[in-house]
Parts: sequence; C-alpha cells; structure tokens
Amino acid sequence: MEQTKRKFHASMINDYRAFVFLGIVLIFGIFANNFYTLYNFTSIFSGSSLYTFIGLAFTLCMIAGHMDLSVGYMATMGAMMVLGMRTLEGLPWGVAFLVAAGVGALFGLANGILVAKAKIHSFIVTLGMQFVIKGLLNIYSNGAEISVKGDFEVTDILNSSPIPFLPFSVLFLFTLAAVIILMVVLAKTRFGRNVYMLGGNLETAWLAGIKSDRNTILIFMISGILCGLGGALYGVSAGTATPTLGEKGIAPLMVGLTATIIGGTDIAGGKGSVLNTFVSIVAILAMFGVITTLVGKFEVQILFIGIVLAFCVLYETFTKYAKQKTLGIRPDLVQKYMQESGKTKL
Amino acid sequence: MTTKEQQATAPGIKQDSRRTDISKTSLFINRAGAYFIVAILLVIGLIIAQGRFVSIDNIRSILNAVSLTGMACAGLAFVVYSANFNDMSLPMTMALSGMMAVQLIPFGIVVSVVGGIAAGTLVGVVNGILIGKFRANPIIWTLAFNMVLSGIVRVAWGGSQIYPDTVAGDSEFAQQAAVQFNSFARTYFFDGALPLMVVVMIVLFVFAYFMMTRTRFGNKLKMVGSNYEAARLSGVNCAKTVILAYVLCSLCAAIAGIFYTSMTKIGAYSNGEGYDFDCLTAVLLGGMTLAGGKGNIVGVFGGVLVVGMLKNIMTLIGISTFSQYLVTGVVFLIVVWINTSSERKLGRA
Amino acid sequence: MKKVLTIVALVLVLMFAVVACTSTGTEEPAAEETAAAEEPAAEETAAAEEPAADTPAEEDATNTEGGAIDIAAVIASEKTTDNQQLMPDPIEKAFPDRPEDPSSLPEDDAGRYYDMEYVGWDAGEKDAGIPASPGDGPQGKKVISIVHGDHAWTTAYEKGMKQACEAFGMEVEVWSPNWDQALQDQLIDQAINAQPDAIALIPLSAENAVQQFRKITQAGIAAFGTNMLTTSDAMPYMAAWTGPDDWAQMRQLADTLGEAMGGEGGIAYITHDPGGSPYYARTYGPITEFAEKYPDIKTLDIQSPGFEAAEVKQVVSDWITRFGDDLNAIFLADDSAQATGAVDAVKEAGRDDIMIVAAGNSKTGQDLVKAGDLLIINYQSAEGDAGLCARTMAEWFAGEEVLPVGYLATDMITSDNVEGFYPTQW
Repeated sequence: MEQTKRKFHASMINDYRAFVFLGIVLIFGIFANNFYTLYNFTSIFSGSSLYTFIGLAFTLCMIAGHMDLSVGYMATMGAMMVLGMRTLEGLPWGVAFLVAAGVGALFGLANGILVAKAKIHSFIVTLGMQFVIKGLLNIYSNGAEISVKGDFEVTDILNSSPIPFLPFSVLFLFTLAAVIILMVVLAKTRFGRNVYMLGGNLETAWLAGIKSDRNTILIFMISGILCGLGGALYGVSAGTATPTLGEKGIAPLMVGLTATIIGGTDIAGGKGSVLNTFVSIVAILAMFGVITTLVGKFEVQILFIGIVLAFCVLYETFTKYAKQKTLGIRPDLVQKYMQESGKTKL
Repeated sequence: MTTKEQQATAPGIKQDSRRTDISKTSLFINRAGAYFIVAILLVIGLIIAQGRFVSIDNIRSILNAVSLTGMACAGLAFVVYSANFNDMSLPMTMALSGMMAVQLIPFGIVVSVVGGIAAGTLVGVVNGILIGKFRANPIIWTLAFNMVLSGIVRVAWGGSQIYPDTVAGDSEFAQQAAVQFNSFARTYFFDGALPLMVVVMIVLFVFAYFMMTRTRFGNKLKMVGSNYEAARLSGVNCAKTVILAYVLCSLCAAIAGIFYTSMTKIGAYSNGEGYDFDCLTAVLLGGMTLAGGKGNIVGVFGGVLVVGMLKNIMTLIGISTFSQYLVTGVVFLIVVWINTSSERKLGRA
Repeated sequence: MKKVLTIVALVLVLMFAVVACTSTGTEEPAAEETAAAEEPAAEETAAAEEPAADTPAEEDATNTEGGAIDIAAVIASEKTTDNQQLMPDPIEKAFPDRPEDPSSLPEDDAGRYYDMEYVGWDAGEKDAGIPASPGDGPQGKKVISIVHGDHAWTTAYEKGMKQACEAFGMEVEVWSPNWDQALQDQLIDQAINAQPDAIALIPLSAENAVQQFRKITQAGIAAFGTNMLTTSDAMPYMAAWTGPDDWAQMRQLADTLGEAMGGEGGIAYITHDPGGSPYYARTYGPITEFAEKYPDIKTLDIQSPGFEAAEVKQVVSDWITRFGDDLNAIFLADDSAQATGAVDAVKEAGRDDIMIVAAGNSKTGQDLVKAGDLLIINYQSAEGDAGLCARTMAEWFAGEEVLPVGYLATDMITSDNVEGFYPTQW
C-alpha cells in the first residue's frame, strides 16, 4: 500500500509540473535583485499576454490531435490588421479588433477545411499557410511596420493597472479572461468534450456520432480567433507591429509549443490542460527575467528553455519506456498496480 | 465522375458503388509527382526567358543554389520516410558541424572535415537513440535538442563568429588548410561548368537511392515507415533502423553544414537557420508524406528542383520578395493537396 | 530509471544555482567561455589600463573642476580593436528645409525620405520628464545597455560598451532580447525595475521606440538612443541619440560608385530587412543620390533575399541571366554573407566587370576589398558606436552640453587604405 502512495506522489508532481517549474523559478527569484516587486510582476504578466494567446491556440489544437504551426503568423496578422484598420483606414477601435479576429477566423477556416475536408496533415497545411500569410502581410504593409502614430490612448489604457496593489494590467486581465473562458468551454461544454474525444481517437469519436469535420474546422477557427485577438492586443499595447513579429528570437510559436509540452499536453492528443499551459508560460517568462538579471546573456536563456523542454520530454519518454518494459516482461504487475491505484490509464 | 465519387464517400449508402478501377490520371500524377511541376516550370521558363533559361549558366546556377538544400534533403528523406515527421535539429547540426570544422582547422584539413562531420553525425546518434530506442516524440525531442545545442554552441563560442583564416593563426600549415577549406564551395569542374557542391549533392542522392532501394536497410525502413507495429512483430529491429535513418540524416546535414560554412567563410551559430522547414518543404513537394513509407528519392530530387526552379523563374520574371513567399506557399499547398488526393483515390492513404 | 531522473533533476537545479551564484556579483561568467573571443580585448584593456589607472588620482587632484579633464583624457586614450578612436567626436549635420508634403514626392526624390534622414533635428523641445543631469561625473554610475539581438556585430558593440564604461568608472550591464520585440519590451520593464542611472537602448522598431523611450523617461531614468534611428516622435523622450549616419554614408558610397561607373549603366540592389531604417537608408539613399547626380544610372531590380550567402548568390546569378550586360553594378546592404554570395555569383559567371559596393564593416567585407572583389565598403565601427554612446552618457553625467543627435565619424574603405583597418572588430 505504501508503495502505491509513493507512486501516487511521483505522478502528482508530473501532473503539476508546470506549477513545480514555476515554484523553482520563484525560488531562484530570491537571488535576483528587485525580482519581487510589483512593477516586475506587472511586467512579467503583461509580457505573457501574446505568448498566452498563442499557447492557448496551440494547446487547443494539440488536444484535438493537430498541430497549428501558423499561430505565430496569425498573431502577427492580428497585430498588423488592428493597427492597419485603425491607423491606415481610420476605423474605430472596436471595428479594428473585430476585423483582426475575423481575419484570424478566416485563415483558421482555411486551415480547418484543408485539414478536415482535403485530409492533408495539419502539420503540412499550417506549414504552407505560414508562407501564404507571411507573403500577404508583407504585401499589405510593403514590409514596413504599422504603428498607432502617436495615438496612445488605448495603448495607455491597456498598460495601466486598474486594481491597486495587484500586478494586473488591463492587457493581462483580458488574457486571464481568455484563459478562464477557454477552460470553462473545454471542461463544461459539449464542444469541449468533443475536442478531447477527437484527439483521443478520431475514429471512435466519429463512430460515437461526433461531427468530426465540423468540429475540427471549428477548432482551427477558434485557434485563429485567439491568435488574431492576442496579436491585436499585443500590437496595440506595444503601439506598433512588424511583419517579422512572429519569427524573431525564440519565436512566439516556439514559446507556445514549449509551454504546451511543459504543461503536460499529450502531443498525440486527447490529454492536456489550458491552465497548465498558461502557468508554464508565466514560468518561462519569469525564468527569462531571473536569468537576465542574474546572467544577462541571451545564450543562457535559450539553453535553459531547451534544457527544461528536453527534461520534460526525457521524463515522459523514459517513464513510458519503463512501463512498456514492465508491460512486456510482467503484465500482471501492471494490472495489480492499476487496480491498487485506481487508475485506468498508464 | 464527380457525383459518383461523392456518392462513394458519403456514409450510410446501401449499395456499394465505390469505384474499384484505378483512375489513370491519379496514377499518372502519383507516378510523375514533382516532375510534373518541373515540366510545367520548364515550359514557363522557356516562354519568359527564351534561350537564356536553358543555358549552361542558368542551369548551373539553379543546381548550385539548391545544392545545400539538396544535400540535407537527401538525408532528411530517410527520417520522413520512417514516419518520424521532421528533424528539427537540422539547423544546429549544420551549424555545429561547420563550427567544429573551423575550430579544428589548425590540425589540418582532413581532421577538420572529419571532425566536423563526426560532430554533426553525433547529433544524429543521440536523436536516433532517443527516438528509435526510447521512442521519444520525434518533433518535440529534436526541437528541444536543437534549443539545447543552440544554447551550448552560443555559450561555448561566446556568441561570436569564427573565421577559418583567423582560427588558423600564423602557422603556414593551418593557413593552407583554411584556404583549402574556403575553396570547397568554390571548386568547379569542366571549366566552371560543374561545381563541386552539385557533384556532392548528386552523389548523396545516388547514395540515398542505393540505400533506399538496394539494401536490406531500405526494405526495413519501408516497413517501419508504413507500419511500425507490423514491422516490429515481423522481427525487424526497428530501433536499429530508425537510429540508422537519423544518423544518415545528420551525416548529410553535416556535409551540407561544412559546405555552408565554406561558402560563407564564417562559422556561426546562425548557420543553417530555417533549413528545417525549407528542407521539409522540398521533401514533401517531392511526394513523400508525413505518414511515412511513401514516395521515393527520385521524387525528392524533383522536389528540390522545383524549389530551385520556382525561385529562379520568379526572380527572372521580377516578382518581389514578398510575393515570392505567397507564391511559394500557394504552390506548396496545391502540390501537397494534389498529391494527397491522388494517394487517396488510389487507396494508398 | 526514477533514480536516474532524480539525479538529472538535481544536476539541473545545481547548474541553475551555479549560474546564479557565479554571476550575482560580477559580469565574469562569460569570460572563460569567450576566452578565444576576448583575448584581443584583454590585450586592449591592458594597453588602456595605464591612463585609466591614472584617472582616479587625476580626478582627485582636479576635483574642483569636476570630471571634465578626466573625460577628455579617457576619450583621447581609448582605442578600438582596429586601432581607431573608441570615442570619436560626434559630428553635427547640416539639414535643409522640410518639403511641404514628403509623401507626395516621387520615390527617387531625396525629399520623400526627409523625415527619416533628418530625424531628430527638428523634433523640438525635449520632454520635461527627462531628469536633470546629476552633474557629478560618470564615476560609479550604473548603466544598462539594451541591444537589439545576438550577432557578431553586437558582440563587438558589447565589448566597446564595456571597455568605454570601465574607462569612465561606470558600471554597465548589456542585455539582449535576441531580435524579439516582445522580449525587448520586457527587458525595458526589467531595466526600469533595476533603477539604473541611465539606459542606453538600440530599439528594434523605429515606431515602437516612442513607447519604449516614453516609458523610460516617465520612470525618471535618463534614456539614450544608440545605433538605430527612431521616428522623430521618440526624440523628445531621449536625452541624446548617437549612431552612424547611414544616409550620408550611403550617399558617399553611391557617389564613389557613380564615378567609377562613369555616370551610366544599370544597378541592382539587395536590401536590408524590409521596413527598418537601414532598409530605407541603404536602398533609397543611393537611389535618390543617383537620381540627383547621375540620372543615367538606372535601377534594374530590388530584392530582399535576407542575409544568407546561398540565397544572395542565387538572386545575383538570376540577375546576370536576366539582365545580361545591362547589369553593371550591385549595391549590397551588408558586406558579410551578402557580399560573399554576390562575389561568388559574379565570379562563377565570369562577370568581373560587375562592380559591387557594400554597406557595413566586417572582416569578410574587408578581406574582399583587400582581394579586390569589392570596390568599396564604408567604415562603421561597432565598438566606436558603443564608445560614442558611453562618451555621451559620461558627458551628460558630468553636466556638459551634449548634441541632441551625434553622428559617428566614418570613412570609406577601399583597396588603398584597407590595411589601416586591421585587425577587424568582427
């Protein structure tokens, strides 16, 4: 019995590894000067906004068993669209945001149709869509950046903190709202359950009466809307957007993907949590902050984000390998363990 | 014909009216693959540029431009064929082999090249063991390993570039090695008609073709790629096969990395950036699918040609860089779509 | 297997701890790793040590006069890797009247780019939020320099910044967001959080810089712009801007090329990353100059294949096929990988008559000039860029008057004078 209890704890750590990661980073924050200040946390939370939206979109697709590589460019497009509509076309902010989300939905629809109807692998579709979006964006703006042109009203609102003594900017509150809405949708609605079922086993889901094509298209559209809105919010809060936003540095796509994996989402689909992805993103950004203050070198940042990701992959791989080994040699042990721990899945 | 197909795919139909004969068009498209596009591009090229398009200079320039991508593609094809999606650590494999080669120049040209290739191949060994033996997820693992390598290389060399002639120092022997190293990408045969890089690319493709079709490894790889479980149950050593596929991939990438470094005369961590997806694009254009076990090396070579000819023709017409992205993306999506649908019509997907 | 993983986890935590401990106090951790790269730096500082060591004593002696003598002595003594002045005198620029509506002018008219070329000169009043100079000299001041991203150029810039700040007795930290806009915004927040005396920033985006400099100034910290030009809206929020005068240099390059071409022929351009200020300066700088002085020189094509030798080589090869003998010259925005690719393509086609001019100043470019493959490049010191910024900060700390816009002294490098610029900075 004790054996089981210990194992239960080990798996718990794995289930909540995003929180554990955040905890480790926060402990090391003690060594960094000025880490525990209101200002610093406001900046970390605001900075996580763009990555969170991209991470949410990516996690959603991954739970459904797909990969959406075009999230980075869709977010860029959202940022370019909102500023283009506002600055170049002179439309009101509300309409500009709607256009950004709408264009995101449109490209999501295109992705979804190609994946669901033309049956091309999502990895390939979104890879090709990246080039298409990149080309369109550059043609639209002629490669130049688009800015708010000194109209900082909304920018200032997004960056202000409405609640005293709490490090939450308006931008972050929007982000938080998106996280919570998506959490509720995934956990409480029929669509949410469908997403998990589609990712778990597409064929079973179809046999169970789920309209898989329609749901897949919807998932890609939501992913597009999330990216469009996230990019738009980021673009306005920064006051500018360039067509290269999604490809520089550790690209937002890579941060989103890493956070999704660290958050424990299964790459094969059917398992994952939006909240864990969000926590991982905050942890990654906090880690960037700590490393910048302590070392100040970008090299170390990329090294550490790589090590954390590699560690998660290795852990998952090796436990799976060990289990398969046990399964091969002594299947009875595994069944006993499953009975005792009350788990249905390894 | 179209209504019949629609009926066939609609669920719940009583009478089985599905086509049993094989569509000739689909079969043709499936066989011809990328060469169909090559032919179209050739015609377009001939119309817009008349004689100049098929001149030796232009053909050489097309081949030369795709030679680096081609070298890496020859290896990447093994990974894609084994149903392992993509080797995302391709960029750092190229950068690492190039930087190691430059760093080893003081010990002579042979040590430098062998050391560079060995360093790059080591990446493949690690990838292969993790993915083949322990069955880590190929995309996530190679991506993570790429980041780790990128961090290590940046920290190790302090984020600076290294130049063959500076590394060589004052020693006469090392300087000579540096000059030789830089001349790799600038060696031509037949009065400048045939660059060494193109020769190496073709040799690698022939080698890959031989490995894929004439060896036991090639047959096993097709089984592993088509159906992993079936291959395992019929006694194929899957782990060994996948490891070898990754090693071959990294070997080719390392060779490409050395030529890349020789071409720019700079060893830098940013060498090879973007080659992961560029090469995958070419391989997919060549008719391979992510499901694995489909397509062939001849097709991949066609895919590489398409990438080169497309860029060449777009520059000849005078399409701006921005529109080039768009055209590339649309062509890629259409080709992959045609390819997938022909596979499906033939019942192979 | 669990044990192994636990050990790996422990090692990971230990590594983090080691990095944390070794780096809290000093900026040393990179030193051993970059031993190869920093060797010349060590020599350099050793050479510069002598005057720098004198200065505190000197400063004590002349305490009543402030840091003025001190600064001048340091400026005179420090040298870059290529034996030029680390902190050259900033250059002022004469500027013409602004045209009525620049955007209505044709693409090859210099007036169209007035707002980019003469940015900062007509920006008007400085923002009231810029803190007053402390006036007590640079000693002991803490400075954070945020660069744009990792590159060999940046490594040289970082070296220059550290060398110059050390000479003035300023503490400096260099942070890099690796070309990521979102990360740079976050670094600025962090820098403000660290409460330094000044922040030197190379903005990634000219437009976003307004927001960035505004933020720093609003936090009551002196902001210095360096290297990359911003829009004029950002100028009121920085205490001073220093950096290269890309436009003037490109005009100079174009003049030399125009003369070499005999005032006629076709020219094709390979650009910098589209959208940024170097893109306009290094493409439309020469185009407008040719349109004004050599109207018979025609622009054949403009392409942006990026900074990869293989891509550039392909584009240039395609140009040679497409334009044949009409192509007489190529203007490159970068003298490193772009130059290698272009020179290779020209050589391969046997078209040695095509003249190639490149902007920038790297080892590759200098070697190519020496070998006679490149006609001319411009001298643009990375270390000097940082040095000029540090000098401006030091002068500002000492309460001296600084130029609102200070350009870096430059030169043209041809095969005649190339020897004088070795060893190169990057």
